[in-house]
Amino acid sequence: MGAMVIGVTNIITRYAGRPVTGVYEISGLILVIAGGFGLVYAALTKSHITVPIVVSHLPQRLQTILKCFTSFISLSIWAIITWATFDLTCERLFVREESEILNIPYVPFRFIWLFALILFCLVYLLDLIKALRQLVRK
Amino acid sequence: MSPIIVGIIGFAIFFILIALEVPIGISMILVGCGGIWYLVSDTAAAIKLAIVPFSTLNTYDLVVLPLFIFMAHVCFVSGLSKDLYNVAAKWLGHQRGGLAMATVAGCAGFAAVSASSIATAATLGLVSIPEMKRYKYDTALATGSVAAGGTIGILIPPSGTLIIYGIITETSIGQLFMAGLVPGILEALFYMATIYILCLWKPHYGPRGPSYSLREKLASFSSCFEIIGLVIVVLGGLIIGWFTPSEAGAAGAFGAIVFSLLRKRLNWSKLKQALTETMKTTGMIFGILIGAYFFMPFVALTNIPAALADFTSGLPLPPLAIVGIILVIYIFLGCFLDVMAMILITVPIFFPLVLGLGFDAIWFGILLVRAMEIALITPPIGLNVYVIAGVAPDVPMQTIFKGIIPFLIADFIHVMMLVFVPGIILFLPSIMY
Repeated sequence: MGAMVIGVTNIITRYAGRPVTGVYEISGLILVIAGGFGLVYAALTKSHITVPIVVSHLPQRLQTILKCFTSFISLSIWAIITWATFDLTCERLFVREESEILNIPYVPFRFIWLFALILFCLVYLLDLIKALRQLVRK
Repeated sequence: MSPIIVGIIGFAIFFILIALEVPIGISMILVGCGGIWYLVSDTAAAIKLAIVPFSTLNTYDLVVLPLFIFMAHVCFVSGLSKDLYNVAAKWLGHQRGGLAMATVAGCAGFAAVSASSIATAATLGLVSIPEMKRYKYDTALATGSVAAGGTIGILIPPSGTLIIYGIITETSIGQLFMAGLVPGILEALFYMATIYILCLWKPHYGPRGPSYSLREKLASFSSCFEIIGLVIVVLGGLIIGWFTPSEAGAAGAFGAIVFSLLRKRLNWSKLKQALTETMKTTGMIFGILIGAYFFMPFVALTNIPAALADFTSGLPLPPLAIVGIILVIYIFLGCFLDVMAMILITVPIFFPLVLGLGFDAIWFGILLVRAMEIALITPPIGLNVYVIAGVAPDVPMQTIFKGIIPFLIADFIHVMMLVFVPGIILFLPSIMY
């Protein structure tokens, strides 16, 4: 919605001779928030694209084992990315990292992204716990 | 180990991971990052892990994607698909197979606001299949026409697939949109001709529906003329150069909201639904995109694209035959892989090869999308078929696939035309730019 409002405002103001400064930067940073939480929401609703063609034909128990494996892989990858992002964010805390035109500091957006990543990891952690429980019950 | 061998092993691991149902984006990150680690250094891989996801999201060029997705979802929740279908049904429904033709026309119309084939098929399927059932249409024809018609969603602009292709190959999105227009309309006409011929051969497949007076037909436009106007302004503005792609998306989404509010078809809960669906789709696409930004440098490091180009240039085959082989590979891969993932995995390999053969990037982009459209309705996966099976759960999958066969024949003829008459694709971009 934010990117939409900025985009439309920019069209109007540009034709009025006074374009909005730094549209590229603002829209990009809005996308960090929308995309970051979009990733989490897609994980929560199991919308990330997978190819179920092989696994769906396997016995139920094997499917559960594979579910544990995929959740573990997903959790591990995103946990490493979260750790690397945390490291980078801490490093950039003491450097004035900002956008070129509007001088918007990147650090708050890095923290928002980090927060989204933590949520993302939690979703996969819950998936792993659920799959493990299912495996134990059988 | 040579980089090419590493690349082949990387691809093998990647396919094993996706067969084990690891999300495609995560499989790409894993293989891409592991490959960079092996071929460059662990530091390079660690730096990429920290930088790539954030920088992928913080990219202005990608803002266009959620904006067009949002526009499509607003149009969907405000019932535009039903209006478009009703217009087409009033104009075409009185002919044999007319409702199936109206479905294809409705799909082509909805494709002008939707960036996705799946969304187009699902949306029109919900409206048209019950109507065709009511008029006792052959189930295979009814479901096949929606599944095939839905594929037009990624060819007629705006197209999410063309946006991604444009971004990763640095080809003008405006020109790609322009190039997709005529082949998209032609595809719809091919499908309608297929239905017409089929119903001439077996009239019971598509009985005639009610006919309407010219006044009633013209009046049907009143329900959606402003959205049609919006599409013309948004896409026209993008093509003429009034807007950048992102601004066109913003204007389209804003216009769709304003018109839906004026028609009293949008309330808070519907807007919320459109927003959450947009967020979900955006997250889904960004999941693969982030993966692709790990995978693409890995593919480049392996030298596979260059080796493949060297290999094919030595083959005793004309360049068009090589493009034909690439299209067949796409159709085959598309039977198993998602369209977006397929583009992000394969374009870094095939694009330099095709350019090296002297072909046009826009022409290849449109052919690529056409191949993916075919893949969307080809067994065993055929994503659109699964979507239709979800919309019409009482129809067996085999019936839908049976219904698709005539459209696949039309697809084959259409693709041949595009290959041998490149002007169909390149004419509009060449006069507009």
